[in-house]
Amino acid sequence: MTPKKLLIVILLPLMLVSGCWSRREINALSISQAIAIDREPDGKIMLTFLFAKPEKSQKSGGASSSEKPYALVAEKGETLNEAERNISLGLPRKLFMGQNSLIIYSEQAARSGLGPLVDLFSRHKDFRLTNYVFVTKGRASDIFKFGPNIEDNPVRQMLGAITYAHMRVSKTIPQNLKDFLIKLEEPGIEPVLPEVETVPKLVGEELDQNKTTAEGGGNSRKLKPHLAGMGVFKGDRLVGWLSPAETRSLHFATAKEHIGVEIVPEGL
Amino acid sequence: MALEEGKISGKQLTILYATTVIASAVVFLPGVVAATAKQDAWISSIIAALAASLLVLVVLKLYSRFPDQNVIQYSQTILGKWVGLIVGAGFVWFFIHINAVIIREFGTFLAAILPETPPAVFMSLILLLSAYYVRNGLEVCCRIAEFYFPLFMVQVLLIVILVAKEIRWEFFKPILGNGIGPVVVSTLPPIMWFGEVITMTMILPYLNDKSQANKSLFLGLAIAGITFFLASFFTIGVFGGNFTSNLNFPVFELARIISIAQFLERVDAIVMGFWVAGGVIKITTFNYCAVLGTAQLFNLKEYKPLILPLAVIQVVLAITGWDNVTQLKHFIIYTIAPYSLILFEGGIPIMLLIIAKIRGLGVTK
Repeated sequence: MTPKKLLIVILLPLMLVSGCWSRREINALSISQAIAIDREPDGKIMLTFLFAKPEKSQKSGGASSSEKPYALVAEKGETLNEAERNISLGLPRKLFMGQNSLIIYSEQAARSGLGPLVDLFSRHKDFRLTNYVFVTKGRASDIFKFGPNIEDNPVRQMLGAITYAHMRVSKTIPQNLKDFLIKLEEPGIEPVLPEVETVPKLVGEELDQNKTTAEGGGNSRKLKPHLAGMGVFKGDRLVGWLSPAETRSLHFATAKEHIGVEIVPEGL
Repeated sequence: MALEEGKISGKQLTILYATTVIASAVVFLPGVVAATAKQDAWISSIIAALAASLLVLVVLKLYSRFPDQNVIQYSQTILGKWVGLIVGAGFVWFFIHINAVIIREFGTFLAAILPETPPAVFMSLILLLSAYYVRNGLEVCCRIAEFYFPLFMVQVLLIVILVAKEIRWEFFKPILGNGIGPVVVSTLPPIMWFGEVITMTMILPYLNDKSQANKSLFLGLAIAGITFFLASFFTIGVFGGNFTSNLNFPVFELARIISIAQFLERVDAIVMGFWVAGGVIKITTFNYCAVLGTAQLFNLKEYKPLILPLAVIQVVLAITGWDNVTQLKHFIIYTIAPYSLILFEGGIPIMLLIIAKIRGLGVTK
């Protein structure tokens, strides 16, 4: 064999063994869709991930339709970074946050300062700056405990609401991670974040009561998510809340377009 | 026998110069400039391009005096054999050193996206490809650049068009809020990038039409300047001055936030592909200069045996030179910009030109 032919024989098998070094198969990933961050009374950080279960979200499977297409996993740590690493201690798959779309902070966390709680997201390679950021009164992890009505997943429902609500009513202002980080950095601008809460369903909204008890989620099916005003920050600390009506005034104050309803009393 | 037999056209020279400058400029530079100039980074890009035209002019003046010699050769003609040899060796070291910085930049960039892969793998593969181009000669390098350049430009334009809706005009205010001082200081790194025109002193002798030199290089500078202006203008407009300076790869973050109708999203993988292609061209240019310069320095008949040893030296230098991306960024801003501007891109060429004028060397009309 000539050297050239020998080289070809050596090089050809190389094409078969080549592959992607950092490849991650979808069935080896836990794909997080939303993250809720609480600060416990003892100062620890609690992270709650909402993971998608892609194999369950396909309707065609049909066998166990009562099983939810998502799962909640929580872990504690001294810092956000530690909690994010600790989550792998009990996770069967590799953590992947590239599809994450929501970050929700509890009021306690926001009042103690978000600086150390947002740093990881601005640096982690998985994270996109297009994640929407919220604050909530009470525990952040409780926000996922409602029965989604139109979508099959709480994250999709909240994501849809924040995407479209501000085009119809001026009672909320969507803020993604980019907006929030810019406002943290720029002198003279203080951040605001939309508030999300779960409220009881109204009388006409409740459907099929008989199935709820079997799932044990009893109360959660009576709740629905609701965008309600804004949390106002000074630096990275939450200092107060704006009601939905006051949020409309925020639109005026920051010269944003106001698309909501103005009720004019009769006889004016 | 000449070391390099190939001939290139004026258009190829323009493309090679423009790609050499912008390939890594759009990756790192907006963040570097915004660190000092904040919201005025776009102004500093204009000043830098104007100031760099002086460096281009020096290179062209030297070329018109010595149209058949490169910088290694005419520094010996001008300064005499021994001093000229030292200066020539300095230039070769400069090409190798800068190339190590560039290789490390791209290794860091890829490793930030694919963290499980050791950066050494990326660096070695990029340099292996570049070594193959250099082995095939200058004409092949230029033709590869000609092929990548349109893709690269289309990709840059696509990013800025797609993020145009995210621009907030208030981020540009206050214009010159801290005075002109920080803006002037921040022009040093971009001038250094544009000053990479010094690599063209190695390539100019192979231009087929000598009258094209002026037009080609200034056109290349204009293309690079406009691209860099777009990159800094849009990063400032979208992220604001303070946040941009915190980002390691601002233009890449621009690509990541592209979201058109929840449909055209996550284009960053494509962007990364084109950047690596541009980076290979840039690394090839410097690699070629280093290899050709070394061969000339030692009066060799052929430069091919030097390619692999020099490639190994450059990769090792790139791997061992810096511990992390912060150190690399600091080195680029505070060490390499003044060092290369004062010595190899500005000082020595100007000195060579003045001495050549005094001694009346070269072609004078």
